[in-house]
Amino acid sequence: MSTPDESYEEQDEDSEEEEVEMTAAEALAKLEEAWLNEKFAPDLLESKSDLVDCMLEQINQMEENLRKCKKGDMRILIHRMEIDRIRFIISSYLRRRLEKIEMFHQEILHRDSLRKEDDPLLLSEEELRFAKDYADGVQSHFKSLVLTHLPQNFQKLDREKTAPKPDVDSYVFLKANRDQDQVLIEPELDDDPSAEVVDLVKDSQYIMRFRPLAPLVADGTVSLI
Amino acid sequence: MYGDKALELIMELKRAAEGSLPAYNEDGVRQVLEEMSVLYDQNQADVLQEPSMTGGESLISAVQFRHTCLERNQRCLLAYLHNRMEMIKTMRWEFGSVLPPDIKNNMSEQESQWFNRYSKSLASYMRSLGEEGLDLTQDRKPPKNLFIQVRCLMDYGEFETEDGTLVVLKKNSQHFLLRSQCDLC
Amino acid sequence: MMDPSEVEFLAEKELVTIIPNFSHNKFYLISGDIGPFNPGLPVDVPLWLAINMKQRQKCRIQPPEWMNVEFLEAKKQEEKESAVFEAVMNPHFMEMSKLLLTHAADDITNADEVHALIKDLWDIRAAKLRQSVDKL
Repeated sequence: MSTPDESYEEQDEDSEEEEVEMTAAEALAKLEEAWLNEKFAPDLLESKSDLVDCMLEQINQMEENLRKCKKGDMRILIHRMEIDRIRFIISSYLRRRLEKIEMFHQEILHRDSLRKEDDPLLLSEEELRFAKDYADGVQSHFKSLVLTHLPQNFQKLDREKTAPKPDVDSYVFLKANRDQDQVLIEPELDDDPSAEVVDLVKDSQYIMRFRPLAPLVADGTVSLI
Repeated sequence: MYGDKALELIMELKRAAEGSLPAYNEDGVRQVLEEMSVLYDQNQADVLQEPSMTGGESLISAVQFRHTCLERNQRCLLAYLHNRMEMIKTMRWEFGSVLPPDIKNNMSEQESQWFNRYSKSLASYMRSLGEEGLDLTQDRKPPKNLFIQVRCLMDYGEFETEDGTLVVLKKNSQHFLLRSQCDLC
Repeated sequence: MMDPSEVEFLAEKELVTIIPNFSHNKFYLISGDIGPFNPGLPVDVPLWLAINMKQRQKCRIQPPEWMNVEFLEAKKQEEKESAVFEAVMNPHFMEMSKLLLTHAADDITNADEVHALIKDLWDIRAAKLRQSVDKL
């Protein structure tokens, strides 16, 4: 029987090749967690489109089953209510992502272009398509309406200065899902021996800046609340 | 005062009632652009006259001042466009791909084009979700699967609820119905 | 930030015990199995379902073990005497009690007093939060 740490590491390595088997209930729980994390994080988090696809499939399957039910069957209403709840979570999750994608489209597309082959997906394929079209649309809109009519020196916009970036230094509430020692509060001071460090205790709640937490949210060590 | 017209554009948007879109201020934008053109030309002229900028403090500060005005005007124009764009986006989420005429008429030609492009892009994205697509403009609030008590105001006849139970809606009878079904009758 | 309807939505997932007055075999919900249902026999269901069944007069709801005057009075006292936040019986106690008191008050003994105590407990905690934020 492997220790919790070992099996966790295994999952990390294998998740690329194998699909981790999980029950529908587990997938739903993970989607809920992803929804809340995305809601509270100032930055766009890794894409969980596989969870979304899984739950949409579950809902569709359930709808089909319900169509076959006899009228007046008590199950119909109950399953419908659950479907409504799940559909709300999915919609809210995807809407929150679109909101960030639209707001920070330049920065996000730039970050995505720097992704390496094995890095986790920041955007789903469809989100990427949407983001690119959105960026193009906004740019040509600004160009046609104003920028081309401006005096020469004012026609280009300096992206570094004008593109909105997510405020990763804003504070978030979180709870620790497991013990995690030695969390660097200021990751920028990585090599500084006097840099402040904190030990997170399982099930405790904290308020911290989002920046140092990003990798811990990604691997499930903490959840945002 | 330089920059007044640009500021006026922004204020116009701030004053707009919630959920409405003021008409695209073609004139206002044009005036700001003209003002910028004048300022820019003046600066160009000054700089050409004194390429080494040794013309003394007053010349330098004049050029700097105009440059600041130019930057401010540029920011205001872009903010004007950007804020209107955000308002138009909200309309897509509220009204769908077909906008009410009073809003449509208040958009500039380019804004209409942008709206159509955004609308199509969004629709395309939503259609890509799952097997049959998912309309993200719905379900904005959590489902409230509560039953509310209704009283019938008139004879309606038979009404079939979600799970197939038949309810007879006669005048003054009271029933428990799911909120979503109340909208239907 | 969460709006109140979303906070309530989360609270609705909490399990509560109901006493059904009907029979039915298990429901295989995506989030897990529920039931089977037999008249008079307690079953745990999510709060959203409990409230719905209660409204359709298909069950009684058993208030959670913390939802009684004795427990809440003690809790309130504990919270009053402490300068820090005491552990709560349930992270969603506020929303749960609101839903239960609104739709199943007849199943709760001394509902009015319970309501008042919960409000007091909430107020004490809210005041502590304001104080600690001021200190920050």
